[in-house]
Amino acid sequence: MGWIDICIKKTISAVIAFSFISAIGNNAFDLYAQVCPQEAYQWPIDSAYVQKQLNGVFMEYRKGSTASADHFHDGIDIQATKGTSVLPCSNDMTVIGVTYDSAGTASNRYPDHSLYLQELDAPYRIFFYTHLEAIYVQLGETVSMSVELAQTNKLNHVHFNQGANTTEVNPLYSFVETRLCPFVDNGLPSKSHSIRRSPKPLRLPV
Amino acid sequence: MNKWSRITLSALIIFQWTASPVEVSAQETTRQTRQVKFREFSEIGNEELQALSSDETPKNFIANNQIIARDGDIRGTAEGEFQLLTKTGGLLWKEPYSYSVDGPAPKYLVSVSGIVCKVRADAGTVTFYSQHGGHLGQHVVVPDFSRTLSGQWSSEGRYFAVTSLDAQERGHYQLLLFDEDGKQLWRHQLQTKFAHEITFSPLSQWVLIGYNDLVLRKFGASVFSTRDGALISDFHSVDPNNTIFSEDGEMVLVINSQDHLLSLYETASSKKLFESKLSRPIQNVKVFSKNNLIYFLAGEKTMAPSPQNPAYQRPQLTELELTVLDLNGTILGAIELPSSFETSPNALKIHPLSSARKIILAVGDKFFACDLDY
Repeated sequence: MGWIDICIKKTISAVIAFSFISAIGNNAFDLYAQVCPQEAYQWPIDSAYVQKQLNGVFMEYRKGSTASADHFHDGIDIQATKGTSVLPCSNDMTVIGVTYDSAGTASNRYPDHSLYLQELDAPYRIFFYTHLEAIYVQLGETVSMSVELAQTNKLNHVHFNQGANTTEVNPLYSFVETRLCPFVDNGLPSKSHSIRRSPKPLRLPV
Repeated sequence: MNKWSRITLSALIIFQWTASPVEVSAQETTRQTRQVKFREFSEIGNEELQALSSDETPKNFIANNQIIARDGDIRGTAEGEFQLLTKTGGLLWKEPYSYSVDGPAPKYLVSVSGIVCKVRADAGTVTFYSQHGGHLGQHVVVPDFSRTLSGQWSSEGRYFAVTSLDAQERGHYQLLLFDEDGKQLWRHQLQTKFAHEITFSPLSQWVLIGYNDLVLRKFGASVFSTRDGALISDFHSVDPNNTIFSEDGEMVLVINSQDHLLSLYETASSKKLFESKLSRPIQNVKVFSKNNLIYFLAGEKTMAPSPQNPAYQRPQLTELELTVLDLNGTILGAIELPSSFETSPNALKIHPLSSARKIILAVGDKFFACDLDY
């Protein structure tokens, strides 16, 4: 084998290796697998391996009304334009609750549905999604991460709880493996983001 | 007559005597297993559907619940107004309300007799109002913000059932029953059974909750007596995800869609009348006990790329079939549905206005009717 053949083979190998590395670099899933712990949850909307913008965080202050007391927010609000695909945050989740509801004015009502999912291998792990427009799954169905559960409605965000009914935890809590990933909080708290009817949604860097 | 002739005659008489009931029994079997024939499905418009709905009991009251102002910020509040109107549009009473934009909105549930129950999940309360807005009573069901408070009136408006978190036991749930004056009749602790459905029997002698036991990871359904709250039956062995009362409430059809199981029980005794394992997952069921008929829609569930987002998959129903059984579980007839009816599972239903002789299917936003001969 002459040196020309060796050069051609090495060039071909280098091109293949370069293409492979580029492909990995462009694949969000591979990045997700490198960065996130094994038990981490994917983001519950499309595209699931990329950090999302948050419009509301866990336990932030929320104003009550004439009948109800002020309270702390029991989940996170993930920004999503109307019609975004809503996904399970893990494999093997069972649909344990579906609520069909509507909101809006009498002349302009829109669907505002909700879903409860339970992890098959860890039944104490329950997830709640609300502000949904169309639900494609049924009660009792077990779903994988590639299944589109629903689409978001015109409120432009999904409210997402990890845990339900007084057992909620922060889905972004960084010291446990069972959290939404990837998530990097580079934001510093500012006065406008503190409490009481902030004029702008709280934005965390993507 | 010799000995052998007497024996032959006796044998003939005995044969005749025993054969008669067999014939009657055979006739009865033929009558019970009469075949049901389906005609072609044809699309019907809203006018035709409206004409069918006019046969239903007319609504005497109209609840008009609307949001008037809404803060653009999800941390703000929404202002709304509820109005109770007569069927001719006359205002009976109204009240303003407000709630946190991102929290659960108040629900005003109106009984057939015009009693209103305001369910505030954000405050954990239920409040009853008379037809003219008089305050009948308020109950703190959960002393805090909750997303799980829901309620349902019985069809004749005598009872109002509420499921919620149990205020006395963390992580547990409860079922409460109120009368039309807003008085609490009884409370039943559901432990870790998270209710996803409340149904009254048509004559209100029973109230049923469909639940998921969060610890055992099993679906189930419990039937309680409305009179005293006694637990009458609990159907958890078949892991049901849907339960339907017969027209008189004396029977309850329990469905496990995933395992294709359909079982009919006597409500009061929990006696199983029949159980059928079907070839395809059950999607929707309608019972006409007076006509001795059960209709069910079944179809294979497959995964298809989402039309809006092909990276993900959506459940799709294929090979659809509408089947009719009698109350013994005998199949009386079946019809394959056209492939144009194939859609997502939640978009295909037997319409509530269906009757024993006219089945109406809702396919997305279209309606198809089919007459039956039997």
